[in-house]
Amino acid sequence: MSEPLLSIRNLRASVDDKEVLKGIDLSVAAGEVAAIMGPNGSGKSTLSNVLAGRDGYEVTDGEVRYDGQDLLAMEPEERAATGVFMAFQYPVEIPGVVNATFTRTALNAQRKARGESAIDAIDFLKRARATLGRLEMDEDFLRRDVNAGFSGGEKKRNEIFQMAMLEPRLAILDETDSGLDIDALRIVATGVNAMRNPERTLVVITHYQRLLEYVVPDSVHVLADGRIARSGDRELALELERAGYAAFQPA
Amino acid sequence: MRPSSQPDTMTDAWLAGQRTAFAACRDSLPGSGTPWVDALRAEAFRQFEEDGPPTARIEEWRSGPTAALTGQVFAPAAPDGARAAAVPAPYLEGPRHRLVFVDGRFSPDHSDAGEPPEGVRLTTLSALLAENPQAARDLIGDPDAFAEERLSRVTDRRPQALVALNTALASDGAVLLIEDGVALAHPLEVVHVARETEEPRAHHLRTLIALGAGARAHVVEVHAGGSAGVWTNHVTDIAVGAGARLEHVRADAGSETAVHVNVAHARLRAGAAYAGFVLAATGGAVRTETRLSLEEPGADGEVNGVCLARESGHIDALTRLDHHAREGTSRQLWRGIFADTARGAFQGRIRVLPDASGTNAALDNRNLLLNAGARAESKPELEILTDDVACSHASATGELDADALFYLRSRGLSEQLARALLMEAFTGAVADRIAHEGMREFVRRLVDDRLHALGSATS
Repeated sequence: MSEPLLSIRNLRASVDDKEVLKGIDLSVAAGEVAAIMGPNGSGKSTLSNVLAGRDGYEVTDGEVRYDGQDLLAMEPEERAATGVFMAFQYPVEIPGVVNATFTRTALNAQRKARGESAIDAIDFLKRARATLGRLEMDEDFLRRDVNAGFSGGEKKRNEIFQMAMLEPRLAILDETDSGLDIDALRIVATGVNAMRNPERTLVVITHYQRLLEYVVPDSVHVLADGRIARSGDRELALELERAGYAAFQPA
Repeated sequence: MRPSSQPDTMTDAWLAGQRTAFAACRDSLPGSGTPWVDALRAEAFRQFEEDGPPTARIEEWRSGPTAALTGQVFAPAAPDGARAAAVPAPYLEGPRHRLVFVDGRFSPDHSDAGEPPEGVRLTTLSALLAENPQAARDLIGDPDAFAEERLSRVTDRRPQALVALNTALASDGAVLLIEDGVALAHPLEVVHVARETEEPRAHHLRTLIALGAGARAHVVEVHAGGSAGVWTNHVTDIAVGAGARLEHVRADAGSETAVHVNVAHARLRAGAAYAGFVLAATGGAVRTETRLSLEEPGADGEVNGVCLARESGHIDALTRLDHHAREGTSRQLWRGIFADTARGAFQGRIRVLPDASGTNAALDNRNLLLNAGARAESKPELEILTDDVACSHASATGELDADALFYLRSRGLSEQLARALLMEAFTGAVADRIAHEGMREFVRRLVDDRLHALGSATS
């Protein structure tokens, strides 16, 4: 594969003065689907939060290059405008903000930052309807307040809907499979697979292997105690499913 | 201005200023020469003098902007035809009746009363007192009607001294009288414009609204213009007849440096409905009161508000909903956003009297603090004197939700846009309660403008 789109070198990060990421090295190429798997407490959510730019995470060493740029120097909204998307493990409820308004505002904020023209309400609606259809989501989603009163599955599908509308180059899916029943998992996976193309990179962060049965990764990396302990192909995920993370837990 | 270490001297000077003002203008005020009007004004002024300006020792004024009020000796604004006023374009789109008052006096040139339907009397206080003083007599509330029972443990003073002062000095105001069964199809827009002033000037405005049984009306009262030397003291007396419905918006659209005091008092008959909305927006000082008396069974009262203060602004919002009769319902939804070193206080009281069984009342007040220097106080009070009631209250004060902000930013919204969207959502739920579409749109626009000012003040 070509030059990596995302390249993480010796990334160290602390939360409340406690080091959680202890030197992560990872490269993901354009078009690659990389799975990051690990037990609870291994640093999975810290890694996704650092990549998305959430406050409260102190990067103490190392760097993250995205498409040749210093990702960590960018504000969260700048990361979004250059094509980074994070599907949250716990999507936030925002009562009073209508989903359609929010998604269109986000899309146009990104387009504006890239010097592109705004999408008008009618074109937006056309695209949104088509996308909802693919995700087996009711059009009612557009009129509801962002995630307010959504079930766990609806929230995750809403994340995938937004991802589809925003068309990122790098999507980080943080535990997108958690809390989903098998039908919702299949729908979400279908949505994710529809997004796969040679230009788009996906980083799938998960505890379990089951999402990877649907979204088949090109590479699998085991995160343990703040480091990438092992990398391999899809077989590694299956092995973890059989043997668990015991071999990677600190003694 | 005298140093604050001499409050009594200041109060004396303030009182003396009001005495001079009353003596100077009592013979030229509307209704002057009509014996009962003269007597009412004299008695009201006597009562005001007895009580003095409100102080923080009065429970209802504990968090009121008393210093801003008595820090300057305001003289009544005098008519000044020589200076042109900047009168804003109509706020409501579409058909409307519009009455404009400039510096507390009716301005026919700027008004467009239109053609109200038969059974509707749309006029001004000065015209009504000239033509049919008796009609006005029944409508002007006795300041004591507003007064609380005296609570000797707090103070002997009555909290409604400014209503008394308004009664003594009211220079004009809108009057809307609707007969039984008549609906005013188009909304009434009342605009009070205060001109900028170098000298401290007071505006005592009095609005009277009376709806007969089954009548319907929508009224917007907007304050525009103004400057740091302006004090507005506005009282709205409202009577809603049996089964009648009034939707009533009061909004600040003018200077954010003025001192603004308003009181609306509505009496509701059987099955009457009053839906009120208040927008207070200031960098100066605002005291806004809404008092509803649900006097007969089955009345429905709603009092909602949005308070936006910035810089060293101060908003004191007070509601008093008294359920006197059975099966009444009431709702209150208040949202406040305070930036910089602004402060806000909300006192909301629901009182369910012994005869008011089957009452259902709810109050919800939430405040956002945008800066570490901002403060908000929320004080819901339930006073329930009967069983068989359902009353609820909720209040919370906090910052913008950091998780929501991050979520929006991670989708590409700038921090400023994300904050604006969250503030719009926070206040939008209140504005959305306004049933009349044109009034709702107007309020949403105005709130958005004011939020913009708040956002740019803090970014």
